[in-house]
Amino acid sequence: MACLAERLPDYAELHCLSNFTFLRGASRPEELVAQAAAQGYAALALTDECSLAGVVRAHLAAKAAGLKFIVGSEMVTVDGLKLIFLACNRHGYGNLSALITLARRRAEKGSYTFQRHDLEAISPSGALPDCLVLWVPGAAPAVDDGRWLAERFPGRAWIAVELHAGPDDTARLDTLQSLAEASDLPMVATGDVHMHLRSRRPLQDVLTALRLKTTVFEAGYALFPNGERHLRSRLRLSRLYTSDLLAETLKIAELCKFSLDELRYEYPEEIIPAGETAASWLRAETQRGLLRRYPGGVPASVSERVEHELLLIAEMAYEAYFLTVYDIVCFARSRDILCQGRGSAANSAVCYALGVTEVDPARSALLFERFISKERGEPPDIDVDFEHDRREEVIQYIYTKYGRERAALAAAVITYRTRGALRDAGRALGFGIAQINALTASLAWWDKREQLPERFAELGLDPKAPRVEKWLAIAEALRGFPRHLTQHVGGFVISRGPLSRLVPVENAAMHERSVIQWDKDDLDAMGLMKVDILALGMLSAIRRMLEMVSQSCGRPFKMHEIPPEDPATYEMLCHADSMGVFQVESRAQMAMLPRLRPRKFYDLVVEVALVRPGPIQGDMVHPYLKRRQGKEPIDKISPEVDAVLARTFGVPIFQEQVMQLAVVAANFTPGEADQLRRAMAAWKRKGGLEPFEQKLLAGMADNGLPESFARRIIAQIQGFGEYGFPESHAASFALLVYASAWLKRHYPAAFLCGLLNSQPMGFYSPSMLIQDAKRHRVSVLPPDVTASDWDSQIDETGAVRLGLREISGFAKVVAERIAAVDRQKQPFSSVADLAARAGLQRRDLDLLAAADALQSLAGHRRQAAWAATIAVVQGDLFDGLTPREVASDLPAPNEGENLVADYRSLGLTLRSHPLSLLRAHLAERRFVTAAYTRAAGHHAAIRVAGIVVGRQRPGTATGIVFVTLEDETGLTNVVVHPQLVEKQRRELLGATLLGVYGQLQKEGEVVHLVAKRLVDLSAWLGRLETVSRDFH
Amino acid sequence: MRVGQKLSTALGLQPGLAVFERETTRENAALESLACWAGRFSPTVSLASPAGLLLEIGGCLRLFGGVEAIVDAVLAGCAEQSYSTRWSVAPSPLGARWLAQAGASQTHQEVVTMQAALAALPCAVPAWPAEVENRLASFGLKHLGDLLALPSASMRQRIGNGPLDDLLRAWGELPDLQLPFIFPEKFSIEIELPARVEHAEALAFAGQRLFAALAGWLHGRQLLVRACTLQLKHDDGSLSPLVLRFAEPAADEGRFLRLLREHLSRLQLTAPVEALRLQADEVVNKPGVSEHLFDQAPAGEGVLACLERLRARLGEVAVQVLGQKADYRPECATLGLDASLDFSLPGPSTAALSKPGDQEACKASRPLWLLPEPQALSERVGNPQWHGPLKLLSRAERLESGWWDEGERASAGDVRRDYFVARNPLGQWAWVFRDAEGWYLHGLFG
Repeated sequence: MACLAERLPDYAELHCLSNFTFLRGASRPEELVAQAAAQGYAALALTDECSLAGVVRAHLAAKAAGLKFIVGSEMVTVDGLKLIFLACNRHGYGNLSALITLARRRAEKGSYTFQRHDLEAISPSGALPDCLVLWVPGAAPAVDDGRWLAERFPGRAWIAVELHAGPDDTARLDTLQSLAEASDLPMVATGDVHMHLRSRRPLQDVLTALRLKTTVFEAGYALFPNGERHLRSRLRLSRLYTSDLLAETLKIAELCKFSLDELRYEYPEEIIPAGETAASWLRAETQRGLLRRYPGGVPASVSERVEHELLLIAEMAYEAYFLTVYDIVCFARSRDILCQGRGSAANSAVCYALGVTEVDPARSALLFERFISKERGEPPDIDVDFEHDRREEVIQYIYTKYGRERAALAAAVITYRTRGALRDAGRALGFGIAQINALTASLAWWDKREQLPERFAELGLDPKAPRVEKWLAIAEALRGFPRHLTQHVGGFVISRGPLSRLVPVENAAMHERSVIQWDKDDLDAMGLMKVDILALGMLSAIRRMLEMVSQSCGRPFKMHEIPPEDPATYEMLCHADSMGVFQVESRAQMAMLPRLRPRKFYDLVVEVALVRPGPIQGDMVHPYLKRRQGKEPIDKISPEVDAVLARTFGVPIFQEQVMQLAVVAANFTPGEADQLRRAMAAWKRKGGLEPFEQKLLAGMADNGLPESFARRIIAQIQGFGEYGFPESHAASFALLVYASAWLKRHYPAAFLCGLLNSQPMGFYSPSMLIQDAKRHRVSVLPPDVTASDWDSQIDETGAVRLGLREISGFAKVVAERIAAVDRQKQPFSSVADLAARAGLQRRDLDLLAAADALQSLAGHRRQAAWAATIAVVQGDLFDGLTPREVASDLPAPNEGENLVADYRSLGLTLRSHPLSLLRAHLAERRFVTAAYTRAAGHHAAIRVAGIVVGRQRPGTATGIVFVTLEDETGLTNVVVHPQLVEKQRRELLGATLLGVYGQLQKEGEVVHLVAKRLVDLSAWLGRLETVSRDFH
Repeated sequence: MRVGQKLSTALGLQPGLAVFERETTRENAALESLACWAGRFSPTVSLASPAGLLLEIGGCLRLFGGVEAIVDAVLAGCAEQSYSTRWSVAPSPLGARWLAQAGASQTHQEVVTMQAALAALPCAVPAWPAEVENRLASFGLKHLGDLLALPSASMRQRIGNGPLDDLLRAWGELPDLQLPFIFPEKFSIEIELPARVEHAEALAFAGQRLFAALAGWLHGRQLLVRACTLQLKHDDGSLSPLVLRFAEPAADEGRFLRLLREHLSRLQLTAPVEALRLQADEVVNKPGVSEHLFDQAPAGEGVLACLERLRARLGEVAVQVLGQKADYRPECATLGLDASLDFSLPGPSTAALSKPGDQEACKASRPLWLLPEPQALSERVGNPQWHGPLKLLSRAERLESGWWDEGERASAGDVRRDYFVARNPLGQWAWVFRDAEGWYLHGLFG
């Protein structure tokens, strides 16, 4: 066999599409490369249609497989000329990338427009210099097209001969032969490859059907007649093509010398003032920043650390990156946009000095290697959170500063998930929408294939039916296939020269946004710098709260002025009184707070990191709590190890600690320790932790540490898995936890306003936030057209006046028009007056009436609705004249009706809680309040009823469902065990008002009601409208 | 389950839930067939879509012996056809409709009692546009009577004229003209069975609806039927016709059903039945009724006439029209169509046919005669034999297609073949292929 292979002709495939040519290519770039190498091809070109999105993956795979890789692209002109361009060198690659950019940027997302004259537009020196072109002629090719090409690409153009055992290959070859002679172009064999193996044919047919929005049954001749468009064996090729056609492929491959390794990323220059170098400027700015951060003198440990970092930064030549981020942060500061670095960048003292991050290195242990490592050789990744509402200003600043030619967002490749794959595979196989929906409505079966027959039988499908089997197989194959490129959440790529010569840029769905064709991993591999401009709603909320606090104390009040380590704030958190507070407001965090009892800032850092799947699965929570409460001794291992773990009572909680342990206890270099971290993140998916385990065991043994300790650490590392949380990140977040908690404790009205005006964000609805604020003695006033603006505000009495934004469907511009009218000097005299002066439409008035916001002008909501419906019929001529009509005598709604109407329009009510109206009924059936549960004893058997405000099924809690109930006195946390979930699914998922019979479980202040039986009381809510105060 | 619930929620609550898509065309067809049937009670029937029928019964009370008798007969008939009903009898059509929709099941002979009943109906019953309903709710108006209590001019200003005119029509204060249902010129109605039927006798029950409709239609149009065909549609797509001939023209449902049962008792089903279609083939005017207005047009000349003669001589199935389908598999690229199929109408059965221009895509040389099934050829030293050794005259044309129906009943499945044009020593041109099994003859060139 080997001997036979020797005698086979060599071949390079020059026309090959991957699944980055969406809905055409049926194989991944990596699969194509592996198969080309297995077939013994001399080279492989990836020529996705007007795209280079797959080339980095292919390049990496080819490098690993030792296969020559060529970058190219297939493009079709608007008049139907199908061309394949191949890059010869770096210059040619730049030209091709620019051409793709040109064709993509003028078309809508996902498509392109390529005209013949674009070839010259790229470079003044002829048609697409330093690229080769292969022409794939159509069924009836025109000689003129060949001549046109030959003239533009002298010595650089070929006719591609693609034989696929079609109806008449002989005739086809003859046609191309005479075409070649007439146009004086040489011919070359190519494969029009759409898949790496013949067996992908069904998937390729499905993709074709999806592209044409039809089924495989109806697709007919739009499908390929056979599976020849795969990477064929050289034996097969030698039987289809003459040897000179095959030999020509090698000649072309020889001319393509470009490798993606030649790409050199260059940082932008303008961030460095004239006369400075990047290094000198970074040093100067860092020093200036240190003086600002430490007015009383820079601690020696910090200066040392800065020196260490600057050295490493200089060695890796990353100065410009730091300065670029610094420049963006400076811009945000100058506009009073709150921002804060997150993630591993908070491990850098330089970042702290520059104001990019807020974690004080003097107060915490940083691990710079977590951020930049020499061994990794990847560019650092600085993620900065900006205020959600104002991130756009920052993005526009970047575009303005660097221009659209040099700045674009990184791509995110959207891939098929299970549901989408099933949906599309089902569609292509002709299944009905109802069947597809029914099957995909719940995907729990996907991981439990043994339940599949049952599931299918329920849908009336036979799981053994051939069509159904194919459905599943195709869906399985389709999973993970890219569907389209979209913009990364905020990863900006900025370059010194035009970005489009580095990587193609295309349009994003969002207007005025452009994305490059590479995603985050591609960028890392190619060493391109990315700055993450992220949005964080809490920053907007905090800015708003601070503004209101400034207003009430009559002077500007900034975030850094929040007094540190305030005992009252910690006291509040110890009682799990944290609704609305950043990060620690979830049910799980609320259950942890009273157990952890945070008393200082570092406790918050731990709190943030502890309630995560990693520590929970790594079994770190209980040991940590026990040792913290002094119920368990802290082991002494060795002075070095104890120093690393002292701050967390001997239990490793953070990624940084694991890395440090590896260094001090097992003799890892910092770079190796970072590799360990990465392996930790991936081991569940890929494995590969074993070599590190051996090294850890050996290293710890060398240092005389007990093996039991080493084993425990390894077990914890595995538990961490991909969920391990960096301490630096936790510290950045803990800063916001503290700030928001302090505001909640001392300025609850401003806190509520800030949250309401920043919705949607967080775990809780405006209704729950308002209920909580009322329990904290904040008085809240309903929206009123004579007093409310768009946003909620604090009035002169200190009460919160709800904004018109709470009215569902109400437009911001309308609210602004109302606020612009001088309501103080000349109050509205009537609904018609309001409509005329604020330019309101009938719909606006309807919404106001429904929200009961016209109360002060027109009386109760029914009268208001009556008045509103004709208030705008008057034309300008009669402005100010009240329509002449007797006010109708509509009966006022009762309390229940008002309540229902409030919920419908506002999603909340300031009147009595619905449960207080039903309380008499509930009491008859011995349902107690949430307040009562706090007073009742451990193990008490009680009944609680409440509005279901949350249902949660955390992945870590094996089938348990947590339900949160709200009544007029507060929230009750209900735990529903899996057996009950199965038995009472309907009540659990269907009820809006749920009654729970159960047993209390108390641990300190943490109260849970373990459900024994559920009753659906929703029907009682339906009767609310007929219930009123005088009823009981 | 609740209206407006997400499907995923519904399935979460009731995992075994059977889900069907709503098909308005089938609903309409069912309503029309019911309207045909209702022709026996009253000549004036109107459709109140989507699910209502209005029968003007004022003129036929004497014939049936009073309101109660008619109502009983109608309800019993509906029940026999397995329809569930809501009904009402009232002096105004719209009033009757609203009361029926509200589930009243009442007879109001007097306008006054009807008005009182209407006034108590919830505002949602007329199914006015959501905007109107919302507005009424915002005024706190819950019953139709509440609307009339308010000044009419003010109301019209607020909710428009439509709803208030509706009220007047329902109250009998505005005339309410109905568009009468026109009985179709030809009777041909199809129903899909709720479940596959495997025993012929079980079809009698389903057939009842169809024959009830036929009887109503005959009555409404004053016709008698001499012959009709009940088409049984099998789940594999095949059809079996059941022709019922009457010795003398008939219009009586009972008689239809007796004959049907007789036929069914002798019938052996070849495959489970999915749907039934009943068409009246030969009808005559009822004696004593004036000559029918629309007489049968004289038979057309030309191709169609020729076709009909052929069919008469050779039988229905012997005459087929060749259709082309876009499918690479040669055996799937042509299909026999019922010659009576009307090609001028796009219908579900013609959707799969290839569109003009498709042949361009597959400009292959295809033989005129395709064997019904590929015929295995013997092989000698690697060469296929058919009346002597075959000489291959073309390069291989590879066809690999059709994986999608692999393993299904009566399907070609995934073919993987290399086709060649070949010639034998007798000078016959053949279309042969080779697959994993060996050589086959698949067609002959003329």
